[in-house]
Amino acid sequence: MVDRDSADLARFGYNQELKRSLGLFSSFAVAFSYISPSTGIFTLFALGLTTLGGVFIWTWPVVALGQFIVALNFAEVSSHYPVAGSVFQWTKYLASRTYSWFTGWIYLFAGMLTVTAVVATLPLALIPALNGLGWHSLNAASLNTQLVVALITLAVITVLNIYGVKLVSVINNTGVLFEILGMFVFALVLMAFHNHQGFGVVTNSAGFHVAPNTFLAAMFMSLFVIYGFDTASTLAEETATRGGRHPRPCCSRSSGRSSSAGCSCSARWWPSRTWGPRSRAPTGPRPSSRPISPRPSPPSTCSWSQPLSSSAACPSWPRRSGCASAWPATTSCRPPSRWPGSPPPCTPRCGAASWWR
Amino acid sequence: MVAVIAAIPFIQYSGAAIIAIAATGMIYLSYFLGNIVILRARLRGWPKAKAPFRLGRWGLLVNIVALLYGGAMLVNFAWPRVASNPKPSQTAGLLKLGFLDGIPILWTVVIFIVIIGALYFAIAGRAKTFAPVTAPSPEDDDPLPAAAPPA
Repeated sequence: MVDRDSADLARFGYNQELKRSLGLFSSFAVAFSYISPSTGIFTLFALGLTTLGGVFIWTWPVVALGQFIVALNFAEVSSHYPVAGSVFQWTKYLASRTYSWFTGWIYLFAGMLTVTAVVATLPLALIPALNGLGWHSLNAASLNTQLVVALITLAVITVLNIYGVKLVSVINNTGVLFEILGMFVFALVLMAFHNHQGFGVVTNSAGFHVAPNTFLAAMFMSLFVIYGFDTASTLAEETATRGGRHPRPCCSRSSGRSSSAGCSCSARWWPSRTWGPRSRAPTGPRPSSRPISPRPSPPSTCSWSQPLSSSAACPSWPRRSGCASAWPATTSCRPPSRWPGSPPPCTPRCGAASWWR
Repeated sequence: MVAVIAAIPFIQYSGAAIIAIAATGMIYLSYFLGNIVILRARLRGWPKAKAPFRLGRWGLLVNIVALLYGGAMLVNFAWPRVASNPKPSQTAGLLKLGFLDGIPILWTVVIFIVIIGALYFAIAGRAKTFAPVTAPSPEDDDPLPAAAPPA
């Protein structure tokens, strides 16, 4: 049986090549650990504190709000294109090849630099911790010591990642759990029992001049922390059942520019609760040799506003095996894609109606 | 491969802060590029298909605010200042990049990566095939003219 997730992916022209082994918590944990409040705090707390004193805490709501708005925008796009690849994928569907390639290129290097930044941050916390455990020979202030620890970290995480996403996700989930415990629960404990500062500390700039330019400079800590929320979408192809997003084959009223003829069968993204039994998308750009389970009947709420043409394929919900053979209606190929080298995907036609305009 | 490239900044290691800021700046740049395209698509009527998450008529406003915020932060990243974007000559010898010593470090990083990308794209990338772009649903098949805005 072709599972729903693979069918999802097929609609975007990709085969399911990665193993879907991650659950919802892993998906959350990956995004959370990429954002990772603690990492940013270790890396750039000093910068914030030495620029604006305690007042720098107010850069957080500003950055959080700004990034929330960016995230909202991306959320809508990823809802339409739930394919791994973040901004590259999203721009790929909406812009030219060159543009999306460069967006992806910059995003890729941003990711790599993030890896570097994070492994470079780890020594700042790890060396004092090792010293605290009785290993007194390490000097946390030495750039060379930091460098060695960072390179060891990099090698270890590389090996772990080669080993597989499942192991990494177990480690990551554990880390995230302790990060939440450490950063949030422990902070509450400190606040309740070891509170040395009044709330006035957040308005105490420690003598630094509070002005737009210092505020902007102090922002870098929160800027570094609050990004990477798109990471969950990067794992979209390794997560089982992405975000309540299931293709629903639905015969809907033809709308917009496809309204000219017959019925329009379109696989659309409906929230799973809205419609009946789960089922696959009716279209697939690539021939599939996998056996396919019988298709459930279309949701009863679907309707046609226009008469069906005689060869309409919609009501019977035909099986798909390859593009053409099992499809009762005609099958045609799209005009050559503007992406060189891509095979023209076969497109089942629903009677006289053109699915793709 | 990623690990090897990620290790390159360690050749001239100057502490985590600069790398962290460079990474953030690059992310903001890619988000900004993404948001530009989404705005352009919105102005042309995207999204037409339904999706589980939709902003509806707020989409345009959200998109514009996201661009304004992202743009403002990009200016903030690019701003030459010792605390966040020092010239190598201002780092008391931590960074030495020869003739680039007078240029703020983040400018160097971004320009370097874009030039490498342009070379790679010109030599190898253009011939490579993307996975076929198949529209997920009829209304989402919204092929925009292949006019390439400056990357």
